[in-house]
Amino acid sequence: METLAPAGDVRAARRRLEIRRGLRGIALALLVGVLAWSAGGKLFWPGEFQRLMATWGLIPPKLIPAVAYTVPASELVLAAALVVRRLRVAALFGVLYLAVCFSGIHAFLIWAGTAVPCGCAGLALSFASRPGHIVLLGLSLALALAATLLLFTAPRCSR
Amino acid sequence: MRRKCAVGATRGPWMALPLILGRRMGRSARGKTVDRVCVRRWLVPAVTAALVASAHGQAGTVREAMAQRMAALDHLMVEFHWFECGAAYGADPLDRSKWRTDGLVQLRKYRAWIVRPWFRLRFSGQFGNERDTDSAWVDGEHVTRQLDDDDTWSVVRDRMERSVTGPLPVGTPLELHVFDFREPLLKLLDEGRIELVSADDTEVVLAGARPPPPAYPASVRAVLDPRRGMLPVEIRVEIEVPNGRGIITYTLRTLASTRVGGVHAIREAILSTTNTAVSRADRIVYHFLAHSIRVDPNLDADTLRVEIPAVNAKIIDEIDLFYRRLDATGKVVAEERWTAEERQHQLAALRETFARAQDADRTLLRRYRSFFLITGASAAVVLAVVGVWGWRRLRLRAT
Repeated sequence: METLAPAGDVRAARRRLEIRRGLRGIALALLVGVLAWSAGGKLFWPGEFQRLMATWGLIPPKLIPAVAYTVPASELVLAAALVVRRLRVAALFGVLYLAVCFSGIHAFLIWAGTAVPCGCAGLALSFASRPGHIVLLGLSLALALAATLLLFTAPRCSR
Repeated sequence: MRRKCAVGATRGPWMALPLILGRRMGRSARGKTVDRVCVRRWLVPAVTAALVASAHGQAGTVREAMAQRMAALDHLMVEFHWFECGAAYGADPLDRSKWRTDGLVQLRKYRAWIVRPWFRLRFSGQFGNERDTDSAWVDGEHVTRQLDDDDTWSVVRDRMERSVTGPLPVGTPLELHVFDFREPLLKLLDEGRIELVSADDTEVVLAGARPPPPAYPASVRAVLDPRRGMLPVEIRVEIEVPNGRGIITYTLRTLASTRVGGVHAIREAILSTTNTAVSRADRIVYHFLAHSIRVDPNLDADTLRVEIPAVNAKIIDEIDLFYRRLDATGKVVAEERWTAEERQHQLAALRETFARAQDADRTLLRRYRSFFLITGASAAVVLAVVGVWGWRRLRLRAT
């Protein structure tokens, strides 16, 4: 004999689902915002971004112009793709890749003791200090974590 | 013929004679062959002594010939061209078709005055904005003066012989130095840093592996031509850069010589350098071509000195520890003095900056590699996440 769940439990489950959806929506909106913000300055002032990248001393000079356009363009494309439901999963993997790359670069710069303005959080918020790199490392890790959580907590309909 | 060998006085060097002649000899009472006893007691020491005496004699003869050469090549005035260009690491420096003249190319016209071990070099650059420079190394003092664009003399006075030639091995074809060994072959031989390896009528080979200061492990090999008054026909120096970072190799090959003071002096030579410690381990090729080499008996150490200008000059004196600027009337318009400790600190900072600049290439390469490592590792992380995500999705579908 089947037993029906009490109405209170159903309402609570629905609320939890709504909260979860709301949190997913906020996380997605934050991801889109951060990516669009980050891409904006780099695309508007590519010369400045190339100069910043040259100061890292991490990227071979021949690759700098290509990377200077590829990174913000990817950020912008990924931000747009996150909005489209059918492209969201692929976009989340892209965001994860970028975020892990950025984390690696910041970790390297912290380890190497090279405090350089990086342009990661947009050109306006480019810190040239070790705490700045630690903040940006935290932000990159948070992005990676958010992308992973969004991938693994996606509702069934979007999988 | 079998004979017993008498013990004691009867054993003499003559007992070794049949051995030399290839004849078998008898056995001693103890069962050892007589020839072995004689060889051990007489022949080996005799032959060794003869060889050592011969080697000493040969070394002495070679040393004497080299000393005569140095004496013949003293009080010398040499005019030469010095051309510098690049070549691929594996290229034969003698193959001029492999010389690269598109990059850093230098052509200098030098005039050298030599009163061994002192010398003076004056050069004018033929390309770029190189200024005419006059340097001398006399009585353990180096003075360089250079006329700047504003008609002011820049003068440096110190005790660094290297400052006269800079990083260029100009002193090597002039037989003042052996590349980083700042002494001629004769002095290296006298100090026991190189030794006679072989000698015959056509070739004398000297070699050694004693380090020059600073004491990096180094080896030298020089081939001399005794028919041309011990003319160096080939010199090779290898220096190990500390911490196993690479090897610097210098070579000199003489192409032509000319008769001066009874011996042959180097008239044309190709020198080359490779350094595997730097990221671009290309070869640098130097072409030495002398137009005039003559003995001037009137030269002496005093005539070599470079005069320090009394007007319009900026003088850095590392011996008396001051910087001074003189105007057109000779009045001191600026002066700075240091103590020895202060100057040591300043120079240490400069050396550190220079060392950092030298390491910059290798550091950059390491950092570029790190960049590729980071992007590759990130890709690996994402692929792992894709794998886990796909596996989880399959499992959810199955349930």
